[in-house]
Amino acid sequence: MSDTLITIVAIFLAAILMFIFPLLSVSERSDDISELAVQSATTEFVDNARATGKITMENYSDLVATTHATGNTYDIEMEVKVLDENVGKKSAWTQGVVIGENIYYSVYTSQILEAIQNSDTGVYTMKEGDIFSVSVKNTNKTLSQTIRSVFYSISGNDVYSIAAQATGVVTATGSY
Amino acid sequence: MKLQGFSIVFALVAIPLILVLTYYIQLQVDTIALQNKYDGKLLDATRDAMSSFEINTANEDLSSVSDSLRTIIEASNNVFFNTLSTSLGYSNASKSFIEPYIPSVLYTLYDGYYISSPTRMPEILIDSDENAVAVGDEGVKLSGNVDGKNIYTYDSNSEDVITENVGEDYGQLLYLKKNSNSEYTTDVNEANLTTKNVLKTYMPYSARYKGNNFDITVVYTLDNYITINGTIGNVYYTKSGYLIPTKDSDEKDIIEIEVDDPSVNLLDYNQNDAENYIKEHHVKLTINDENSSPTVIEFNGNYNELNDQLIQFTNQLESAEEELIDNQLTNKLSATDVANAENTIKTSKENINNIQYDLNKMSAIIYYTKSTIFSNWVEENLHNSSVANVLENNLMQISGIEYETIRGTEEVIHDFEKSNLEVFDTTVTGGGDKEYAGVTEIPVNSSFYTHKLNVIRNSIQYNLNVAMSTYNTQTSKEYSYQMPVMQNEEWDRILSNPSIVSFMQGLPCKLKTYSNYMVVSSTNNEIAVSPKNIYYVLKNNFNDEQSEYHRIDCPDFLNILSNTPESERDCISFSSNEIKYDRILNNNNHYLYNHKNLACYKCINDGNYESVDIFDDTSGDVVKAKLRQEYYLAVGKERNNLYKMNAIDNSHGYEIIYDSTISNNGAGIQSIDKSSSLPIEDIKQIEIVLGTIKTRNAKENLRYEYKVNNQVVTDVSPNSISSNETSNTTLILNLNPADFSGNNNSLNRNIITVTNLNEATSTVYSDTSATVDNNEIFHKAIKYIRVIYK
Repeated sequence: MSDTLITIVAIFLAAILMFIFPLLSVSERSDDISELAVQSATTEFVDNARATGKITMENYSDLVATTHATGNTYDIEMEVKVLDENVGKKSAWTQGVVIGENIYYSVYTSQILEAIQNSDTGVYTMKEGDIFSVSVKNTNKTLSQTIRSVFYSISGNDVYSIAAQATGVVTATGSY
Repeated sequence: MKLQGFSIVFALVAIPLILVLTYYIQLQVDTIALQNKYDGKLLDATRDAMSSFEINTANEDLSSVSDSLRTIIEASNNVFFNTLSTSLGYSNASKSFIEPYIPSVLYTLYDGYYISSPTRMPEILIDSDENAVAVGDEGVKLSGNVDGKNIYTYDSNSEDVITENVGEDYGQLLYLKKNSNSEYTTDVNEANLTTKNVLKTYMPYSARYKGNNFDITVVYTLDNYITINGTIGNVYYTKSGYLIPTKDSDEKDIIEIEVDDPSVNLLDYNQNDAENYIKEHHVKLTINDENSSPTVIEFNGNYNELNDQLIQFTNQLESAEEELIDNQLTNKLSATDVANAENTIKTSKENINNIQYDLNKMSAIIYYTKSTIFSNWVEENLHNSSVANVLENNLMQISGIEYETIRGTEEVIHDFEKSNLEVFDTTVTGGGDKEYAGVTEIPVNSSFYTHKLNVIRNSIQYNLNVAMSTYNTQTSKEYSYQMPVMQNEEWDRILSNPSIVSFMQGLPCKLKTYSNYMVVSSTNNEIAVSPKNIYYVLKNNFNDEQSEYHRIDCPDFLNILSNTPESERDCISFSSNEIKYDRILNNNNHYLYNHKNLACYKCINDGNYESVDIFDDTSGDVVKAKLRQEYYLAVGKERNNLYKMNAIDNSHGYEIIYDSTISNNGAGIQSIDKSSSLPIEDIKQIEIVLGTIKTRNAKENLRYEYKVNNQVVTDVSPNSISSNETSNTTLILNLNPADFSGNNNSLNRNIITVTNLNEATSTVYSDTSATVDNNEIFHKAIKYIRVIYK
């Protein structure tokens, strides 16, 4: 009787050790590799945008294509913090604007994409001094997340295992 | 073995594998993260360098003069290293640790570029004030002699001076000797070498072209300004100007100019003469566009008078403003005085804006006139210069190199031998124009631009490659520095605005070695103007704190103009750098802001709006026509007022047609006595060097009337010449274009004739005492004749 019980426990243990654990581990590595790809694609996108002052439909589609090639679905969130400067206001400085005097207001993904689609050129322009940031998170359940949820479950909406983020100050005023 | 045994063995095998894999992948992730971090830091440092460049050019009046520009670039380079080392965790003082990882920094400017790159240099002895010390200076002592070469030591506290036994070393700089820390030598080969970041000499964007009858060097710029030096036929030219399209597709003139005097055709003038004429006359310029109504710019004033008035009103304005400021502290002024001062401010502002608008119109007319004269000349003289004629040094003769990337083929080095583009062709070569910027702008996809970009690119590519590989041979690091292949779109950015490109290589970055470059372009500087970065404000609202300035294609601006009475639609324009770096001090060291208008929210702050196509004239909109006028005016004004480093003061050509000082001595040197290669109508000026005019009476004051091909020349200097002078006199005859237009004869010395206004037609020649014609005496005195073409 006890032998049978031990055998059953052993079979379960063996199954977990021999199949599920390696699978979990391999799928986690696969997520890591996806994250690597997503991170570099995101950084490239942000660097390109901040160096040219333009967010173009072409580059955005590139980012979407590269990230989705990893086999997951992603939520790409863009945010442009527009420097709301009053360059007419003068003070006793060499530059017309004073650090700390400026306010930023934010424009988000849907507004940016709408502006791109409405413009003739397919370009959203930013100016020098704006801040552009992009964060990418997966929205589907990856294999590693599915397996992990067998053992323990995490509740809530913000459950992701692949995430990438890039931010920077825009260095050129985009030409329209 | 039992199942339990199997599972334990499996676990023992699998777990280490998985652990190693995890670690490895984590390391890869870290590498990418670190690389991204370095990318960001490099970009930020490059941007800081650009900011420093912009601020310095804006606050320096002479920023476009080359020496001043050099110090600005050096400062910018310093800022780059400071920011980079600080952000990488080094202090400023130890930025020398970073320097070896920067094989070069490229600065592309308006008409040339600088490369900053580390070079091995001999270590020069400097004193406490950082002045170089030479043999013969205080504290330098002779300490010995090895292989016939003197060895010196230096004591900074000593005031002793040696002059003996130093021989030829006296006055030479001292270098630290190899493998020593206190011995100095004057021999560079014996000197200790250190690596220093050096800004190499300024290299212009130039190419040399050689054809059957011409051999010229062309210096290009980021826009359409070019400088041409060299011979075409027998004439040596030094010309510079803006190249613009002169004829539309129906061969109709794009620029037409009308003046009050019907005999004057300004386009027959030399560029400089035309400019001087416009400054003092009533001129009406018409820009014809096939697709929309013509644009007219008219100027009727006098430059000097306007300038005087401008100074007068500016002074009035400043003193009234200062009175009011003082009054805020002292309350001395009565209510009427305050009202008067306020009134003065209002009227002088209005007057200043009106004068400024007139001056802007004048500048724009000068720009379009000079450009048309120059472009017509290029069209006439260099029509057949195809790219195949490019004959430079090895740089142009190496065959093209292409590089395959996943993005497609990048052309690394352009092969000029294969292309047959016409160099100065300003028409579109194929496909529609993507960015139409007016009829006077050369389309981006014209052969002129394509060729220009290739020339500049090859030149930069070559020199940057040399700088990097030279550095490579000088360092003992295992890492090999290489010039990366830059993408076409990056080149477009580099070559459309002044830019900084920084290269960082060889920095250890976890699993690999970091190698990347960053490009930052400038839009706010004083050395180049792009039509996109010009802002506009209604003339009556200029410098008014309540109203806004706009871009030309802003829909709000169109509305504002539509709601303004037609007579008040004039605009004042300025470039973006004028606002960003506003000049702040007036002559009395009081703050002075010339651009108090606010930025338009839509087009300046946000930048995303539905733009107005001002060139679309299907509905014949008068407001759009006005916008077009303001656009052409602004572009012309900004370009004309830009200081150019490579500009040539007198844009002209010359030919020597007579030289009596060379005699036919049989040694192959021929005396020169010929006719001019170009007809008289192309001649601007004749320079005649006269030797002694030998008349009977000593020191006779001769007043001549000069005729060229029987046409009297009125503009002559000097007015009178003394006879029997021993020194040479240079006589300048300025030919009035109105008098000589259409004269197709060529000039030789015999058709330059004189009549003596003081005396009878003949006089006595002192050498033979025979009575001869005045003209003959004059001709005997001529030593050289130089013809200056328009």
